[in-house]
Amino acid sequence: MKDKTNKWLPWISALLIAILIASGLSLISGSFTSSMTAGLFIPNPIPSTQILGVSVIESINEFTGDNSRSYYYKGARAGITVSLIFMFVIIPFLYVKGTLQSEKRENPTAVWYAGSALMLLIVIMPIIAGTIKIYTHQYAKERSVINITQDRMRMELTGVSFIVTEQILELDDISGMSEITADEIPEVSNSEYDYLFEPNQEDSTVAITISSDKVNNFTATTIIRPYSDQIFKYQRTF
Amino acid sequence: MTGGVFFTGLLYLIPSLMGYIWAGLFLSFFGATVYLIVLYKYGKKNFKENNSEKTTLTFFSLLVISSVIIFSFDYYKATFQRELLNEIRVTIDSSVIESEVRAELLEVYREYLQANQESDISVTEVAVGFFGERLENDGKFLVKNPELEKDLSFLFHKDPESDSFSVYSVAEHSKSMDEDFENLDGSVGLLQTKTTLTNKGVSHERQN
Repeated sequence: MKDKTNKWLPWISALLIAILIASGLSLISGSFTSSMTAGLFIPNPIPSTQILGVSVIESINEFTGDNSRSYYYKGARAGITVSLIFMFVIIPFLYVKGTLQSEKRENPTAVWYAGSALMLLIVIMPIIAGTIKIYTHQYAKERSVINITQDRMRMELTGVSFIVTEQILELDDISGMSEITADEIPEVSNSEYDYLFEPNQEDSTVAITISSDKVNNFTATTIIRPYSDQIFKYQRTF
Repeated sequence: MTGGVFFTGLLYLIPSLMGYIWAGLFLSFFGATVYLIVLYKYGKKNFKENNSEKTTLTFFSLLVISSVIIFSFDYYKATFQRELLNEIRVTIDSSVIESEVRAELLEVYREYLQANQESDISVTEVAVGFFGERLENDGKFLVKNPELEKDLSFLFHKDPESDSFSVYSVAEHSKSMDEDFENLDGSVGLLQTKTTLTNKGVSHERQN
């Protein structure tokens, strides 16, 4: 029993050192949360996270129409290179060197402790981070699918609102709205969403509501005012 | 170790200097794997204990496997986010174009229907009278809200023969379906819509 304890004790110590280093790294990166780009410069046990950060900033720049590569790209590139060299070259080298030294001296050396702790860190951290990333990404993906569907519903509603406005103008009578049926508008009859038409002859408006129970009962409404300056507008969106 | 630093660092730096950061990561990872194999073989030759060899092999294998998985996942995530942001941009631009341009042409159509009751007038004549100076000589169409022209460009085309008036809208930051599509404003692969007014109404189509 004593022998077994002695055998695992250096590994437990190395694991504790790894946890300490991980906490230290997390504390350092946590203190930089106020700066979005600062994290890209700090060496990271998962270098692809830094590259993902650069990619996200580039995608946002494309979204806003800014095609210039900013200063952080150069800084992040240096940070990523250092991370890769540490992770794949220096730490494995330290571990092998430490193991050879320990075998020679028949006791774990400081190099072995450093190498083993860092090795545990770079092997365990990606597994934990990867699991969290996959879980959070799945949730974000589900949310984005719902948001995209809602945007498509709004767009479809806009198109239908224009078609109905045009038909009212051609009939030159808001009361003619009651004659318009869903079958006459292919965009409505072929739609996978539900529509509700509510003509109001008192103020010459028509409310068109689109809804779907597939996206958390989302509904959007437009108020058509064919004879006003602002032909239609969104009334509410839930 | 110097060889490893050289291999891993340079294989990342060269493609990333050219702007290919992900290619750099995977190339660097390839170089690092070669280095890890060499380092393992060196250790195997010099280790006295069998356990050291097994532990090293386990560590190196886990490092390579977990890196492949997480690097691939992060690459997939980056691609997903880029495509998602572009889709959001296309949706926003499409909605803005349709709400603005189609609404304007619908106002012209309303005026045409009223004017046509009194006299025989063409859609093109009504549109030219309605927009006036907003139709520039070089074919540029000035929308009601000039703020929109920061990200969108509008061109008009009138065809008296078929009595139609069209507005082409190009979104400067929305990459669209066909990457090789030649937009009317000279750009390539961007979102383009065509909104046409005829005596039968207003039609709106996405051309790219």
